Amino acid sequence: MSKPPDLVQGTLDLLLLKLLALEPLHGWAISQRLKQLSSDMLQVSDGSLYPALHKLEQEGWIKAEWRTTENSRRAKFYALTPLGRAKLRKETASWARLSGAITSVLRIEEA
Amino acid sequence: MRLRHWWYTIPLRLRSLVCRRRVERDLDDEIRFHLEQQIEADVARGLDPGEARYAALRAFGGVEQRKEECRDMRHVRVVDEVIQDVHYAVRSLRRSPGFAVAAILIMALGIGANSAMFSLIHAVLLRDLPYPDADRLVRMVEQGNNGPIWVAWPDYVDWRATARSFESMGAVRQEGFTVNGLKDPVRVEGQRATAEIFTLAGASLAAGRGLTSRSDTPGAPLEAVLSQKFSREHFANDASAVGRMIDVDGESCLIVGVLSRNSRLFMDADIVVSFGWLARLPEWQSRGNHFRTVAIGKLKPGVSAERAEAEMQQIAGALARTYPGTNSGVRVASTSLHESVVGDLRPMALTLAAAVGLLLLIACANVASLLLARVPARRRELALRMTLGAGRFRIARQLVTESVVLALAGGAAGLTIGSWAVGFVRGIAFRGIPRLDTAGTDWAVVGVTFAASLLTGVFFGLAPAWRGTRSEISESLQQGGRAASIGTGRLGAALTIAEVALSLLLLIGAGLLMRSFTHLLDVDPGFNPRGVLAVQLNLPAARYPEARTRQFYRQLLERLGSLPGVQSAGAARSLPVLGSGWTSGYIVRDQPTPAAADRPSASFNPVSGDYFRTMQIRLLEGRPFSAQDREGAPPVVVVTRAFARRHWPEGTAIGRQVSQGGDAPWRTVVGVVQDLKQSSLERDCGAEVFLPLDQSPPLKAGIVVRPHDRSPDLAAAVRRELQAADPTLPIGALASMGDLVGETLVSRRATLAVLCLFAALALVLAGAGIYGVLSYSVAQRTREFGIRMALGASATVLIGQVLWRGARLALSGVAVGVLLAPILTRLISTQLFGVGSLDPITFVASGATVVGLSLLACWIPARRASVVDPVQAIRAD
Repeated sequence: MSKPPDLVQGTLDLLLLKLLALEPLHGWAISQRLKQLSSDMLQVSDGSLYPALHKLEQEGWIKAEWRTTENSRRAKFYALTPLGRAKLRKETASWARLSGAITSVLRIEEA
Repeated sequence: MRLRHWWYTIPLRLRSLVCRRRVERDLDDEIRFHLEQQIEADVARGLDPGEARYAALRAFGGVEQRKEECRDMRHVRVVDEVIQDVHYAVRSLRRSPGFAVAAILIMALGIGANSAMFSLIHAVLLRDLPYPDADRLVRMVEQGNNGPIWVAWPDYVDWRATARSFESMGAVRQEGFTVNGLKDPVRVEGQRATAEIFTLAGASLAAGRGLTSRSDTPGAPLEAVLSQKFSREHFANDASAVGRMIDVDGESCLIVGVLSRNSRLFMDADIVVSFGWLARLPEWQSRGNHFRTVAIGKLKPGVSAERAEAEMQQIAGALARTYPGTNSGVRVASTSLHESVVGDLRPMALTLAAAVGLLLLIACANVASLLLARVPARRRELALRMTLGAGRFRIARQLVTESVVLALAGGAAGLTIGSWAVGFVRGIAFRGIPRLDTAGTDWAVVGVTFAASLLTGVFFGLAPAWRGTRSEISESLQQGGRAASIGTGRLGAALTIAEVALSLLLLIGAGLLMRSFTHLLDVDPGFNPRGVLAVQLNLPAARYPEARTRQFYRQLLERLGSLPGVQSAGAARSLPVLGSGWTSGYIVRDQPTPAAADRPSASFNPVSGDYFRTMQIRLLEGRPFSAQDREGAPPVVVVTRAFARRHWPEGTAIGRQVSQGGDAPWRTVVGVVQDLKQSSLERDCGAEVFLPLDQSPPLKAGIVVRPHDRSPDLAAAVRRELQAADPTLPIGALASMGDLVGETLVSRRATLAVLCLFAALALVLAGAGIYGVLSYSVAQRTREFGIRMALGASATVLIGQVLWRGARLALSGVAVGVLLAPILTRLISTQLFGVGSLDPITFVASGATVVGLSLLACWIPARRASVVDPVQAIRAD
């Protein structure tokens, strides 16, 4: 398999918001879940995950909470805020429009 | 939507700023958790723990860098950097304490002076008057064709009844009273007021009540309200003062209340008396008499001052039609109360504000050149930082932060200095400047000082910041630090020239005012004040009918004149220069009689026979008063030359007749004396008419006594005679006439003193600036001088070179200053006396002083240049 492409920052934000909409997760779990759900297609370098999470928190779309995991360890769990939910809806719609437009251009038959 | 966004983010950002350590720990923990999880997972898959750790770290990317990115996301980097800059600035300032102390002192001086001046101007000019709705208060007097006259009582009553624009109107009048019925008779500064004045001024009472409208109606008994200071001085407590009877100017008066400590009724007064029986007197009922009464009204909300003024003019017009004899041509002059209180002070305040602003600019230029001179010393450090990746902007910000730290430190010190200065000025208690005693360091002053420090810090930080970030700096690293001087170049020279120019401006301003002052001192007041003792007397009308008053003066003057050591004694209703005159309109026989408002007015002054001799006023024509001009004799007057010239420019005034109009008799002119200054040394001599004291004895008079030369102090003897004449009369202070005349110049003297202080400071700063620039330049060129001396140049040539450099700077500064000067001197032209605003003597003298001082400042660096040891200079690196 060729090396998976790096994710553009904006789409990374969208994916993170979606993941957190399903349930609150901590950082490591997010990176695992992302690999899992996309069948290893999408990989986020672990290091770029955290700046993205902190940025989302700063913008008020997710909020953070320290909780204990099943292994009785302390971890920082992120969850979506109402603002974040609205943002997710907006960005999903805009992504759909964008990809729709790209698809229709690509569908044009070569003459 | 935006609001909700801020609602989430602001607490977060505050937390990042404030609970810094906890946030950092959280970040650490979070990343550590991630790495541990990753390592565990890898180990579970079979990797070696060491390998797993290595792999996890590699997968993560640089941990520190990621942390930094996270911090970036929190947008606290800028604040972090600023805090870093401040720490750095403080450390680097601590390393050069001499420089830091010098710079802080200079800034403290500049900012402190500004802070003090702002505090004074704020209290005196800017602040609202302390009355409720003060912006709606209006002061009204009547205006004839020859200027403002006061308000005639019946006119005030009509105004109050008919004016619709005012919610309320009252009348108030400053007056001095003789109060008896206390332990000793005492003379007080007081006022008469109507009941409305209490509500207009928002006065609160510590005991009793204010005056009521009942007390204003003719026929009602007199009522009085005391100031708290007065009641504490003379009664056990405020409550016990209420209900007591005292004797005010001979009339008995009931104390009905005591004002609380901070209440003022538009003027300082120890006692406020109702108009009461005054309004009954026939002279008060006449519309032709204007007795220093002022009307104060409060506009109805929504009524503009212009509309109210228009209405008042209409009312005045109606009165003029109804009473043409007294009111024709009389209009209303109304000004906002604030304006009437501060209007006169504005020119002086603006002059001082401009001066202090100039001083601050000079201080900034000085510190800027000091900072500039430091740049070359730091060029390695700055160059290093630039090559390590700090952007130009970052370094510039660092340098500006240093300047701001200096400025804020200077500002804090300046605030302290300023408070002391304000306290000092308050202690001198200049009379006649209202509200000066309320000046202090309040929040407005602190805020303005802080803002000024910040702005000046940024302002003078720009020069070194620009200098310090030029690309030449990085080149200098390569040259091993032996670059030519980058520090003081054109920028440094420009700053010095600016300093010299600004200090020249201050010096010219001070010089012009100083010359005005000396001219004023030389002005001939028309009499000889040297040695003359003066004291004011006030006889209470109730106990002094005309006959008794006449008798009183006759006896008193005779006894005073016969005291050993007294050359002569006299009395006059108004003494010259002190401005206590009383003017009246008059008519001249054999000339057309104008309407009441158009009549010329002059000062009518009853004086005793020996008055002219006592004051050494020169007689020009005819004769002075003598024993024959007593009561019952033909009415005569002596006039001043200004009066004579006004009406009889050709020929003599002797034998002509004047009268005050109405029932007053025609008086014949029997003598002409030289002109006198009535109210101020600055204004021209007015026309004055003297009447014999015996024919119209006044209730108020100034008694003057001229002793023989080298007589012992007569004050005690005079006082004894006065007390013997009437023990119930309070005796005011005996002062020398010369001192009293000098006191009229007090505010000028004060302005001049302050301005001279500023000019001196400015000169010191400018001199220090030149000295600094040249010292630095000489230090930089040590090698060059060494080489030249080795090649045979003599020491004098080198000294000459340095001096010439300094002189060039000074002369350029003087040239710039001279060009700018006319603009500024025009601002103070109203305060000049006897000098033009472009007075060449002042300009030349100031320029010469500045150049001379600059050359003096150049001397030491020049000497240093000449003692350079050539061998040392070339060898040293």
